[in-house]
Amino acid sequence: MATGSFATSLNRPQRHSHGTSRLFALAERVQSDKISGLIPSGSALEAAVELSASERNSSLATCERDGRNKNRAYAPSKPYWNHEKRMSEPVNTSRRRMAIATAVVPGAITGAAVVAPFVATLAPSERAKAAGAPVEVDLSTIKPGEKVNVEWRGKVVWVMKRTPEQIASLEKIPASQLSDASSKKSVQPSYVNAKTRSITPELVVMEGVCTHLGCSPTSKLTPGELGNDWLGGFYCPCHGSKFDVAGRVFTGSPAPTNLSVPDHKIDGNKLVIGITPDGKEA
Amino acid sequence: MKAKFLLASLAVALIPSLSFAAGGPEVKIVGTTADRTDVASLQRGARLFVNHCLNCHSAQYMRYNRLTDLKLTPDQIKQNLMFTTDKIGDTMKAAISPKDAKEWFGAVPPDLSVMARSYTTERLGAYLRGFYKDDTREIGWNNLVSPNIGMPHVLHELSGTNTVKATVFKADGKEVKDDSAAKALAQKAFIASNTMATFEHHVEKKDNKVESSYIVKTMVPGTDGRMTPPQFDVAMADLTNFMDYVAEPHKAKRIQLGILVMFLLSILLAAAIWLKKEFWKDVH
Amino acid sequence: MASNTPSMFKSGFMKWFDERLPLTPTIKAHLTEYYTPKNFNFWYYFGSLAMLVLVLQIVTGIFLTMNYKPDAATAFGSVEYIMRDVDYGWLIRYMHSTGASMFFVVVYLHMCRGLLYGSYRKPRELIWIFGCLIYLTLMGEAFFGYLLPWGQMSFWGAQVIVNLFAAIPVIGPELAVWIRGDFAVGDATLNRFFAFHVIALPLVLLGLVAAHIVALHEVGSNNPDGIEIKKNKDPKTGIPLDGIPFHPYFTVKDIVGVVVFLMIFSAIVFFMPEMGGYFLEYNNFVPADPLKTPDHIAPVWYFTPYYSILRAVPPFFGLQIWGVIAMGAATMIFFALPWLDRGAVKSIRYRGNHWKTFFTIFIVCFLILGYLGVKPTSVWGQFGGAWASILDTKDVATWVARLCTVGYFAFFVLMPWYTKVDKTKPEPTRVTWGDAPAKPKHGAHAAAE
Repeated sequence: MATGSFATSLNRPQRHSHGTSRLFALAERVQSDKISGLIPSGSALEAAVELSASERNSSLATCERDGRNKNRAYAPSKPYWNHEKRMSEPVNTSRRRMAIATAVVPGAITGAAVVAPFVATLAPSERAKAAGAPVEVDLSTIKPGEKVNVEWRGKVVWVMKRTPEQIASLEKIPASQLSDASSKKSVQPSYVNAKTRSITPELVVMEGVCTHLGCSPTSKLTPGELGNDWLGGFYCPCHGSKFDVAGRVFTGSPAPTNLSVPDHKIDGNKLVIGITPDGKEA
Repeated sequence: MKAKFLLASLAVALIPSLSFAAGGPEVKIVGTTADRTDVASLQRGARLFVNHCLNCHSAQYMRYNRLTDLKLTPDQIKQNLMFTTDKIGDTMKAAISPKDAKEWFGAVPPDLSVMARSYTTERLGAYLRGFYKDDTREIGWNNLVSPNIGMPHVLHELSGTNTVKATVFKADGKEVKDDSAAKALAQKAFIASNTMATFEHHVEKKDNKVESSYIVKTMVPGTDGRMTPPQFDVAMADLTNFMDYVAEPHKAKRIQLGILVMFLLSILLAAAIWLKKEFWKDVH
Repeated sequence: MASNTPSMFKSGFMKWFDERLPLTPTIKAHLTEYYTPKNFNFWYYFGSLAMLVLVLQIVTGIFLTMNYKPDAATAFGSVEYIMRDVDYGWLIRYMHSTGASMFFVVVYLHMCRGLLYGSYRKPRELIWIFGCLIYLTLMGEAFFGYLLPWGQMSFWGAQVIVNLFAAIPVIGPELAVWIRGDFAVGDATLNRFFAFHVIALPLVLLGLVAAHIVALHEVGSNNPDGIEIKKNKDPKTGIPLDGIPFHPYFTVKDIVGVVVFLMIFSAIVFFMPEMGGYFLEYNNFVPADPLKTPDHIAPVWYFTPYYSILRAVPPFFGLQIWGVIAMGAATMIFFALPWLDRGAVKSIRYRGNHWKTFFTIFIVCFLILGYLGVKPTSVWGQFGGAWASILDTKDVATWVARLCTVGYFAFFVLMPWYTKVDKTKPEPTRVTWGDAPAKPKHGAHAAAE
């Protein structure tokens, strides 16, 4: 803030004072400096306006002799607290501006360098990252038609082995009934089939978190459970979103997209959640 | 003038002292030290640490995956260094459960995460080399740096059975005239020792008489170990180096960053001085 | 003051704003039109630096509380968690621990400046009193904060200090239990110390700092000559002839001081954060263990002069309280300074030899007491021979500490006498630039005006 105010005070427009008396220009100058906050009211410069007539003439004459800058020949732009110097040596504004600019650049870098580590401390810590590490699931204990809940990064992940009937049910649902039939808007890795939303048709892995407001949908896997045309799927108790057994959302539900599918890798009877099939951590 | 004097005396008061004799005997360390930037040394130290120390001690604030600092891949860490867990994000736990440890040793062996900082790295290096056979103690071992410590010499297979030769210097009125002569002789022997040594002043009150003696203990390295004394010395330097790393894993980064910060600040200082001079032209 | 000044803006947003909150008039009153003596020297950096460290401590402290756990079971671990697992947590922690020590370095130098140039004298008594209160609050803040890492030194330091209250006759033991909230320093103690450290005392500190600065800007700054610049005003403008606006002149000057300070600060943070065991004590890397006292407990360096006084005073009439009283008196006696000093001049530049002698004794005693406070009393050996039977304590260091305690108090207690009889030099009427011969251009300057 401080440097900012130096800068504005130096960059203020220069005023010409042809046609007005020089003294008036000086007074006006003082006024403008006062506004910019650089010259305090009642400063020595303001006092200079009030100098006795003879002194005034001579001091103005001195200022005028210094012809380096025609625009500012009528007065020094800064107060001089050293009386003699004020008379003889006006401020070199461009040099002063250079000094401010030179200080502002490393000053800003230093400021940013101070802020950066504070911002960095807010990121997940090593402990949080370790807790969010890939989770292994033994698939041999899961029977077809069974769903187990696994916790990964504080979220519930469903691991489900679908029956042939459930797989077939996915074909029966017309795309017009689904909000995102091809899973273009939904979170889903590229190596996952768009329709079954899984690597193999049997095993589906998805986050049990409704994409509307984050509730966990309940299983309604028995056909007919939610009306005659219900082929089995999931139902969110909070706002009534409906999903099929691939987590695809039906039209008319508040949820905008299908249930998210996290990165996962299948290795025989071992499933690893949080890792891509080629071994990269999510 | 006075201002400068006062500031100087304050600076003197702040200069840290480096003696580490406080509390125990004065110790002379004969041994090498390893450099914190020597990755090979740190890797060797890590192997010693997980194979020997982690049997009874933990380093509960140190995560295995942090060891990638030592230019190790996660797979190398998993295969060579992780014996107490299978998750690479886990911290280093002891192989023995704290409950068993309490039963066996009477106390849970201290956590080693910041041991190099509390005990100081110099003392730690001396301590690890300071074990010797002492049959007067139940555990059979003693240590020159921390006398009567409860920890046995777990690395004796490597170092061999070290023993200690104690020499007592005492005024006898003949060859050793008085106490100060005894002290001088003892100090001479202490300095001359080419193995680790300690120097102690013993004062005993016997029948209203104060008996003063100086004891110099020198280490005699064992010969029955898997390592020669110089090899063991390097191994302990590596282990100390690794424990120093474990105590503050960010140390290398800290110093690196510090150099950068000092460079940046010196540029800022030059700019600030110029700025000040420009404005103060109005005053001077 | 500020609110009486009309806005300098004739229209626009800032006029609207200033009519509701005197922003620009306040900036004027405290920065652009606060007239500061132009002859400030090196000693005048420490006020603004203390402010800088305060901000640094508050900001780093806020970020530390985001991960710290004020719980006896997890406190030590949470500090190590910050040091290792939180990104750049180590930097924030080192900044905070170094900041604590540097706060005292800066404040001690700032106080020393006040003594050197008589800044506590009329009309600045209130500034001085607020300053003393800040110092006491800071000591409390440091003491409460020191328990939080829950290391051995934290625990036993708190144990020893709280037990000082147990030395008070009759109510002492009950009082100590009440302060701890337990029969020994424990979880309850840690939790309440945390509350004091992170919210109660910082609030008090901020209020006191505000009062300190407002009071300063009301009467104006002292200067190395100890003369009042307000005595020589421009008859037309009413501005002190030796005053220059704080902004921009002292802003740019203080920036230089800030950068130099930051370089020293960074050198400690990045290259020697433990400062050889003085800023972060070795034993504090051992978790608190109520069953095992460390071999040698010494308080952190900034408390050691007072700790030495505490240790040096022997018990009388079977009571231990005298050491505690002496220690308390040593910190409280600063409050009386404005009324103890009867000197004709304020600044050391024009003081006589009496004051200079007592002041030197005081500083030397303070430093020796500080040094002895980190060492065991046996550090300088023992008296032998005939002395041993006469003296109650044979430790040489204890006797030196006793002498220094006398020297410390003599500076204050004898002040009304020696300042009165002191042969002072005449004060100048206008400020000077320090040691003679004055720099020629300044001399010419003074003559011309």
